[in-house]
Amino acid sequence: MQKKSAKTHLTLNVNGKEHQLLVNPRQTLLGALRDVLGLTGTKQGCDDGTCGTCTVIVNGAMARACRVPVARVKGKAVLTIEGLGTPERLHPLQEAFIKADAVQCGFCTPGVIMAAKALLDRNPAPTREQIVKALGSNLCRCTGYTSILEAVTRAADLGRGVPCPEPQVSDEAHRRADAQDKVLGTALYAADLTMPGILHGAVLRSPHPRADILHIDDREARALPGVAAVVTARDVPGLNRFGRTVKDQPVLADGRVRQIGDAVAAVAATSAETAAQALSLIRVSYQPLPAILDPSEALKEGAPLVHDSGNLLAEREVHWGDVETALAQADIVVDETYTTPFCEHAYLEPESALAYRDNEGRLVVRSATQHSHLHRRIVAETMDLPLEQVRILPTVVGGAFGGKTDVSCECVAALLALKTGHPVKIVYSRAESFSSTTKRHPFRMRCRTGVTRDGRLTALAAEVLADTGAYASAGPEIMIRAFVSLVGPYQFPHVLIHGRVVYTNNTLAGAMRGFGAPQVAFAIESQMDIMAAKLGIDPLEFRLMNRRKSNAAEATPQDMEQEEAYRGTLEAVRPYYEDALRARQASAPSDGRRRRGVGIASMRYGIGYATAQPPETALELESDGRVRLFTGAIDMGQGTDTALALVVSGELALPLESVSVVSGDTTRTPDTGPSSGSRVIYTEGNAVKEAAARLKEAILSTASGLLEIPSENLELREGLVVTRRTAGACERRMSLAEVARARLSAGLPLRFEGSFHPVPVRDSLSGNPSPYLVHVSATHMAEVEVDTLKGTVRVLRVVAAHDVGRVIFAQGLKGQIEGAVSMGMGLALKEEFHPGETKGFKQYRIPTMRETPEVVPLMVEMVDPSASLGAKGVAECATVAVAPAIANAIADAMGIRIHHLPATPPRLVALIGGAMHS
Amino acid sequence: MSKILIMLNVNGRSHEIACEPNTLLLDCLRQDLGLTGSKRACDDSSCGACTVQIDGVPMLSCALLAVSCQGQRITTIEGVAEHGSLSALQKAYSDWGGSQCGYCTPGFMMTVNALLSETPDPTDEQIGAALSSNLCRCTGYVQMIQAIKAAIRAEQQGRAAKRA
Repeated sequence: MQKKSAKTHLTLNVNGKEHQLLVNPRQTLLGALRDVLGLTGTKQGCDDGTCGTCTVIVNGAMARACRVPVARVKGKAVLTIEGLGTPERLHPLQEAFIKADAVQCGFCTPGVIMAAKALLDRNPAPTREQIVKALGSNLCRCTGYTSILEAVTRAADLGRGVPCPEPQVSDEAHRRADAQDKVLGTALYAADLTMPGILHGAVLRSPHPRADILHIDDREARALPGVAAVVTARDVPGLNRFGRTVKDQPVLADGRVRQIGDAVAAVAATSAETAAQALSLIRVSYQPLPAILDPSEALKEGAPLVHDSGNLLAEREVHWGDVETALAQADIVVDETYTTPFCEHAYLEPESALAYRDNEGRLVVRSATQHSHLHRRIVAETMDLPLEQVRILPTVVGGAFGGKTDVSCECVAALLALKTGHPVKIVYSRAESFSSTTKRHPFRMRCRTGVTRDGRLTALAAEVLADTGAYASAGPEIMIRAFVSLVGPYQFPHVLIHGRVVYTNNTLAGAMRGFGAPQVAFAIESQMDIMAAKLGIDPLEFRLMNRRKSNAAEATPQDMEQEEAYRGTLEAVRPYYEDALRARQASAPSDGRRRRGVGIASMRYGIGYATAQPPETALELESDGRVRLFTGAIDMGQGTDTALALVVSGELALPLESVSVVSGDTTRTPDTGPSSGSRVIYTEGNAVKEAAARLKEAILSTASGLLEIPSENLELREGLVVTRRTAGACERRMSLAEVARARLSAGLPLRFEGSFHPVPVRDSLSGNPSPYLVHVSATHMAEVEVDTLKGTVRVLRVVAAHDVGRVIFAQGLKGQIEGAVSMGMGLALKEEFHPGETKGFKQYRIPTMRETPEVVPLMVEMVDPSASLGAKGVAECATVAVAPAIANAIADAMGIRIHHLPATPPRLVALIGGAMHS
Repeated sequence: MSKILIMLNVNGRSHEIACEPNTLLLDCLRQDLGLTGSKRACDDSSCGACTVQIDGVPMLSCALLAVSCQGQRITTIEGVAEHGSLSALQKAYSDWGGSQCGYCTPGFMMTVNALLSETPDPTDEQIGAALSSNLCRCTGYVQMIQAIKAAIRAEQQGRAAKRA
């Protein structure tokens, strides 16, 4: 009995090849490319055509594959990233993207390249404005667009045979190992994976911020053909609670939902469509309860409790000196309150996971993670499996910024895979990514700072309240981080900071780039400028004269280096600052509508957790002379695989391409703690250096025996063991492959481990043990133009001077700073997440190429004496000072002070109007 | 060659597939439906690794056109164990070592399964005749036959218990 098919049969021309497909006529071109043809280079980053990751070319014109019904491209020529170049013969755009380091996480890359291709095909010599116009609606969250602009310009020049200058920072040897796969569209993210017998998982979420679940009726859903399993809380075999430190979040809600977006039930079905249909058939009866949505209400007597343990998640206080007396005696006291909003990481890759049992019966979870070993512990505990029965095998990570440290869909995918015995893949929609995953903590900060008439800081008193939403996540950690960055790089003799992190029924907040630091930097850097203005002292000079100084008698070399490095960042910015002030003077507009401003902000940030376990790593010499690094650190686009490989290649004098990196696989790599807080190059970098030193010693000793030359007369050079140039006239050499084979046949080890055991430090100002191993500082300068009528702010230029210790991977460093400036601009001017309301990129606008300012990254290199590598880290720190520098620049332009971020046009218009009336 | 639209009933579910008219059922199962339990091992219909059941009759899926199987009940190894619990035959295979490398196993299972549903208590000759259509290079067939006999006993005991 044959029923009439709802599907249509059509011929599609993709990348010059004819394909005959049977598709649902409403199927999108994106779905046909990815699911039917297996062309997964074209990505799905949102569900409403706003992100551009699915950009393809149809009959020569750029198109969003997620918005085009496949039936409409019948008979037309479709070009996807897979049709552009090959590993042997890259397209000039692909070449240029690699060379200009315009690729970080890589998830937006195929779409951006296709948009650029469509532009160059019709306009081979575009101006900067034309490039911006054409690529202005393709979102990128990593690069900050500067390098993308550079890449497209390069490709255009190459295409026309115009000689183009080398990129600002360029070193052939320092190319990211993963960039080629990313520009070709062959890098596989979790959503791109498939397996025989795969089922598609989907999650039913709470529409209420707080409610009791009275009943779940899943009978209809179970009866739907194609549904393999429906699971609720009672199916969770292990502990139905997880978290980074506090285990308070259920895999599936049991009895009570605590936020909009809480997972209530999940299904696995033979297609994503069937899974979605099954969700719509599950009936949940809720009893809505009064919800706590305002953190200041959470601590009041009789407030509803988010968890039985009470609404106060963490409370912390630090103090030294006598703050109240110091404030009473200060010549000027500035007392202001600042707030910052919930922010969303907005990585272009939505959370996805594939879970299955492998041949050994082990549960394997493939997903984008920043800390695979933490994910393994959580999956094992919630699924009631021994740790050894769980393997987390990370995929390429399409951006993370702190948000992929917590688990999202991993446990549910694992549960469905165990339940059905089939591989199960869950791919979050953008709306799910917004509603159910961690955000940046909103802060409310009252700061009182005192200063003497001659400009000496005397005291800082601060009361900080942070909203962690429904679950703890990184809540306790952010307050520790916030305290360090609130005191900042300044000399406050008297300090009292009290901070509380409270639960509410808002969306859970966790780690997001700089977690805790960008919020407090906004407060303290605003205070610094207000005080400087009251005193009539230049903001840069005011910071310089109040920079923290250790007690010279007790200062360690590390203290001294850090103080000098901070001064170095101020001095590095100074010439740009003086130019900017002159330019602002010269451009004083006649109509007064557009006004220019210049702002400065600094920051101090702690790197490496003093209490985390020491990182470990291993290096293996392989029989062909290559070296393989096994690290628990994860490259989520920030470039740690390349940076760590550069440490190895530097120590062993090997070409970079001779080093390969295995990262994050829990069965093959040690737990090195989370790849977060800019710690990888400092902690893991030093462990890798130690392993490399051990391997080097072994190589030289073996070569010494074979060559019969004392090892002190041998050295490593360009992948070979050679006699030292000073040792004698006749050079002898031996390849690492020969050394490896000799060690292999002699039964000598080829694997060498390294670890890093840093010495805990005390804070030189307070005398307290420091929660971090090393500190970095930075100074940013922003030049802005404010449209006083519309309240819009254009950031013209950001100069970012960073104390980095030593530069390891120059392109990566530059890329991190440019991307962080973009994210900081979002915090300053645009980004604001409202639980339950913000559902996608249409409401949550992140910076686009159109707003990209000129970014001038400046590296202040003063080798960190606390560890042998000398490098310190930059990825998170670079976001911290951006928003306060922009806020200070707006104040400079307008004479008005922003207390609430972001400084959106309506807020600015209201402030400008208020200032005019008063 | 232009593709045609066909409808196959596999393991109790209907599937719409666009395939070329000369597509073998084996390829259609493995590639279009992702049912990789049925194996390809010989290319000339002599090994039996690709055995499936068509309306309960064991057939070589490498010797059938997918288009010719429309309107018939196709059962593959994936349809033998449902809801994660093993059939008596599958359990006996693991108890008695009926499977070594496992590549021939799905094909054998489909053959034996068909035999036992037709003839619940077969003679040694009947078992031998049925198995002669499938090749195994690991087990020497001895433990496989022991497994099959164990499965028959288990089924008989199960039926007796039900009657009692």
